Amino acid sequence: MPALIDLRKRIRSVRNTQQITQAMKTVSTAKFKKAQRNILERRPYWHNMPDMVLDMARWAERKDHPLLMAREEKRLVALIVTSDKGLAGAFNSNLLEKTDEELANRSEKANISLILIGKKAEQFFKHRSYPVLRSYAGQIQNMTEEDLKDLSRYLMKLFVYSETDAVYAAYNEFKSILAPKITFLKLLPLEFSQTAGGMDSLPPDWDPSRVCLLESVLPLYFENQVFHCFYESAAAEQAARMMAMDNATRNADELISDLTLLMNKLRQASITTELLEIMTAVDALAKK
Amino acid sequence: MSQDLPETMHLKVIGPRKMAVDEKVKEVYLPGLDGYLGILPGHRPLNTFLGKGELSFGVKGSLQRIPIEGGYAHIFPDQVLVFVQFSEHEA
Repeated sequence: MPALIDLRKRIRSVRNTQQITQAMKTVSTAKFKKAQRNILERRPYWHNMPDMVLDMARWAERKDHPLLMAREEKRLVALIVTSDKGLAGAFNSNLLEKTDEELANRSEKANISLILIGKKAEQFFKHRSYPVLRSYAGQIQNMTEEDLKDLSRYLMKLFVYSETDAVYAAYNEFKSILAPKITFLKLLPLEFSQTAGGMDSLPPDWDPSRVCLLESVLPLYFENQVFHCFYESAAAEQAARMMAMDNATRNADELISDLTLLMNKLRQASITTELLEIMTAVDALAKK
Repeated sequence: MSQDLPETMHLKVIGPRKMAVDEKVKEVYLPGLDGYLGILPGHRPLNTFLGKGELSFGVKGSLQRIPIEGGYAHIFPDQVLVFVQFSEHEA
């Protein structure tokens, strides 16, 4: 049986922890609102651009642009987007586990190199054998659009100069506050169906020319895909942390009420014992 | 063309951080590289660059205008997708 004083101490410490989780929840709620607004503003661009780009690519030939070249995947680069900080539930661990599995499946056929965003990814892959080309650990807060553009240029360069045969991305996509969607997809080469379909099979006109348009559109499209990975993950991270901290606060509440109940029971028991002792003593005295 | 032409087109004008237009329209005028392009429903598929200028659209008689800095247009008989960089004050 724990002593009363220990219980009181424990309740106090749980209450302190609860205050912290509550504060962290408030902070992540504010950050989440900002991140959510960011992705909601950008989503129309991200979601409509494939319509145009994939349709353009459908009429193009693989040789029209280096980003369309499909090669046998002997070397591949994986861009893995996690978070810098923990306390976000299974946000990072689920993603890393899935990614590790996907990479293991491919590692027999291909040489894999990594580009890591977030401290969690760095910690996880520190003990794996994959070489890391670039690591943005502890920089998520300060990463600007310019940094992401630089990263996308770097990835395109690797691909165009045949230093890699494919670029994959693994990230958490923000689906709802309850759970993110773990996404593992191929960014390069662009995947599209060559078979003409849809509402019209009339070949389009190009102004000025197909190659010229593709040259301008494809890098922009790829850059936006990198933005997509990063910003979706940022929003999902805050949502996950918000949920985790909310759960923690509620658990603390439960724990406090359990402990209080136990403490009251103990106190009651000690009072009863003391009373009993007194009554016994009184009885004994009366009998004399 | 023997098949019926559509009466309206779905116009989407999208900037990197904003969807400016998402509606059915009867005509669209785009600032192309060599001058303005007038697009009516049933236009043949066209992919083109856009230059700096004013994008206008609407139903005959009442046109709305948006200044743009350039971009791309993806045109179908019943759909016009425009990706643009908005002018400073518009964004």
